[in-house]
Amino acid sequence: MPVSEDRKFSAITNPIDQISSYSCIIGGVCLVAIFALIAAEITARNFLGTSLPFSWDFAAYMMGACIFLSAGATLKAGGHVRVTALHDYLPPKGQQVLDAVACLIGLAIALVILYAVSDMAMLSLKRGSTSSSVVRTPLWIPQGFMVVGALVFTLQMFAQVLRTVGGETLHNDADIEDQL
Amino acid sequence: MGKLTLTLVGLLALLLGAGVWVGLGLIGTGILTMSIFKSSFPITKLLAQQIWNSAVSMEMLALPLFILMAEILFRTRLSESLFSGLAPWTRRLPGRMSHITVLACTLFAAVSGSSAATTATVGRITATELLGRGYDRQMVIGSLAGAGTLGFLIPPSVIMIIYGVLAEESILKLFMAGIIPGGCLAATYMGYLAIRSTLNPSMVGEATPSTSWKEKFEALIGLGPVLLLILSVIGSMYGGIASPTEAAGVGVAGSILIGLFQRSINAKNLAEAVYHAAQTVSMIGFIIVGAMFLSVSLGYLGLPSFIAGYIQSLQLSPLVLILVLLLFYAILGCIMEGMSAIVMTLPITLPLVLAAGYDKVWYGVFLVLVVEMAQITPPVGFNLIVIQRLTGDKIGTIARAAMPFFLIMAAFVLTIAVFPGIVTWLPNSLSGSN
Amino acid sequence: ETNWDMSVVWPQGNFHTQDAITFADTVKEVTDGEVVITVHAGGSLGIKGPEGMAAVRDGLVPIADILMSQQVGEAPVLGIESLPYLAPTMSDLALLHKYFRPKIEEVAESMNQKLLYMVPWPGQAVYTKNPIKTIEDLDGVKLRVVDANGQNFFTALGAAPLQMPWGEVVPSLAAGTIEGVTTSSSSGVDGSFWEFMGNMSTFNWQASSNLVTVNLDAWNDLSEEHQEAIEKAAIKLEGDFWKASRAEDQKKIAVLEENGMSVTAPSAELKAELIKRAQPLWEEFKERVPEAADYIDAYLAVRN
Ligand code: NA
Ligand code: NA
Repeated sequence: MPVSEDRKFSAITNPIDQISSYSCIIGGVCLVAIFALIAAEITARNFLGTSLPFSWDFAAYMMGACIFLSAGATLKAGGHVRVTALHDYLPPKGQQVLDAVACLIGLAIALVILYAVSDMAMLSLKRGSTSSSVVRTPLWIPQGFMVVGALVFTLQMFAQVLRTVGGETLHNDADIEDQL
Repeated sequence: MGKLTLTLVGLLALLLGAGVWVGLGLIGTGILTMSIFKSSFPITKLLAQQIWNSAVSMEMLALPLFILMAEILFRTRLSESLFSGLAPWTRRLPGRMSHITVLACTLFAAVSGSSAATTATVGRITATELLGRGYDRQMVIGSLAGAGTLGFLIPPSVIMIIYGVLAEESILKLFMAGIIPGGCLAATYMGYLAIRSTLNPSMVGEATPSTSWKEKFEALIGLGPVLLLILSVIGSMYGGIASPTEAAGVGVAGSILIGLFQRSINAKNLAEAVYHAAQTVSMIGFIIVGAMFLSVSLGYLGLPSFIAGYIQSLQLSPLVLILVLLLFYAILGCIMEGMSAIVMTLPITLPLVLAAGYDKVWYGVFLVLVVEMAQITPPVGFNLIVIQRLTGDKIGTIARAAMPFFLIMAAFVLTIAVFPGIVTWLPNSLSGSN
Repeated sequence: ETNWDMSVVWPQGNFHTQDAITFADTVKEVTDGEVVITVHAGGSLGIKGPEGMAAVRDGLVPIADILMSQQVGEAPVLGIESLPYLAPTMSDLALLHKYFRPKIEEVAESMNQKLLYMVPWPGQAVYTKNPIKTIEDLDGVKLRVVDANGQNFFTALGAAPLQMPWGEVVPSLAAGTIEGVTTSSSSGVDGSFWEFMGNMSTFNWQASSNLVTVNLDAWNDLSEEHQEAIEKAAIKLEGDFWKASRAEDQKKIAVLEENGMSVTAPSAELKAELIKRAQPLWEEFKERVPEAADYIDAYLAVRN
């Protein structure tokens, strides 16, 4: 893999990649938090005779946050799954056009997702909606995590568009070759 | 409805064929189909709601935990010791170590309530090792896809719980009903692997050198950590310490302990495990969101209930009815998330099946089996997607590899239709002794 | 012809679902087949309990059956009737509604919907492995509750309440991870609780009602004649549904007993103690949700 310095648009894509990977680190922290919350609940119930009324709720929020915050870096790494049946039959030039089309469609859908979750979070904030369980969590907070993640994901999709336009091929999970 | 079906299939083929990421493609198909056929509908509100419901879902929490556990275990020497422990025992078995996938899936299915978690965890531990030992790629990924589906059939099972609530049937009875079919299916898979590898010996890896009984038993010690881990997860669940989802947390803790004990886990590779697990969770999360959103959109458009209603109007004989339902769910399962397919069609199909003389518990197992089949049919097949993430093979390749297992399941469904006792004997004999 | 999809989260056989189907049939009849409501049971439209009112407001569905106490995230005042022992009998609840219903209608309107009818659940019972004769029998019992009121009330009783998704409850009961559940007789039968626990005590500590509301835009699209006919049908059916709810409780308790569950009512002393420990929670609630105070006070003034 050549380093990204000499690629077109790297002034734009490099910072986006940076943001994506920071965002994914926070996503990882959320994942660890799911474990921590569940472990705390088991411990509290079995050893302290009490239950943490927030453990399930918060763990679920953390899962939503993890899914969204990690999405950008996953896209960059080629971790999101695609069907490549048609792709593989095309000559390199055709593959590049198809990739660009896929990225543009992906960008459009990512924008709709970004709009949908932002709208949900804004309305929750405006209406003061909370969860209906014991801890009345203001819903805009967990929803806000998803908005940030969706934004990073959209930016990364934009970076993918630039990459395909700039003549790069998209990653197909780089990890995989390391593993096998 | 014909126009709707055509549009749906066309859009899916177009978006997924163009190489749009699967989760996004499903969302895009849902958005476009809704805006064509129900244009005044607040689509983005529905999208936001479905994103929230499926990404922030307590029912799904075991999945990220098991994925994290698998990533940690992958970085320990657990699979190495598992294989070297079992290798001398499988030397003379036709199919040799290919059975380990099925056995591990069966065992892990007793730990986890979902097929995706079973496939992800077992696959992480066995796939690389088997491929490295020269086992045929098709056979490895096919058996993983097939046996991974046992996660729903062998208790605990998320689907049985949902079915139990909707059909107002005892969840305990449903759990019981899954055990014998689960065992039968696992045995059939192993039989198939044995036959395949006898017919084509090049599919299995080299036999390990012959060992003495003493060495054989010594090698078994290597299984200790795996067994301890599984016992602690099952033990915490059945010993009244943790609920099924919480037990997944016990699994994470156990995997860290194993890693520390083996000195194979350090801060660096633990961080890598978390980073990689977060990406897997994200990938699967997006597909679940997409599948749920598309399924619910189709529900609003009335497609599943329309077809189910059509089947009702046919007045079929019991066995033909089951055959048609099998076909119906198999096709629905290609594009819909299995659980939503059940939720949407149950009000129509359950009375039909009961009227045909089948038992409620039996139908629960039937549905679990058809959902499992849906797990390995493209394009929306969660096991296929999980395996793609693991091995990097194409969805189509994995689906072809899984085909024999799909057919085994279909044949098994017909078998239980002819011999319902396979399903109902255990729950009936246990509740009879009450 | 107007077609409405109605979201109901309960399974097909639940009496609220059956009520909804009866309502749909009646509406069809009184509007000469011009307003057709399709009941989607089991949450098959993808709407979860706490989202009911929001879904009707946003127009995801024109009409829905909604568990009121789950809507406290949108409007905290809707938590009134689930306060422990505030309205333990159906006649108490009817009295409470006399004062509180206008407020519910106001909340509904502020969320762009109209209340058509409301039906209570049978009271919340306590299912346990060991019988509960005195308050000490609750000591440290790991009991599954569903809301803040349950959490606070059973903490006040010395139990160890916990929250967990319904799907976890049955396996956890079987394994002894949890030792009890508080829920209605209907849900006790749905969950085949006799497989895990031998005792049900009819605490009836909490009331809760389901609302059926209709989106105002959908409602205003109807002719006045149809609106009137539907309103009239709703009022008439509501009375029937309340009776059916009471009958449901008796029917389900009979099923529990048939399956070998011992059903008892708390003794007078226990009941007195329970109510004593419940009352501070009313005050807490009034403080946290001041707009609720007037309704609670007006109701209590008449009841006492
Ligand atoms: Na399982
Ligand atoms: Na499928």
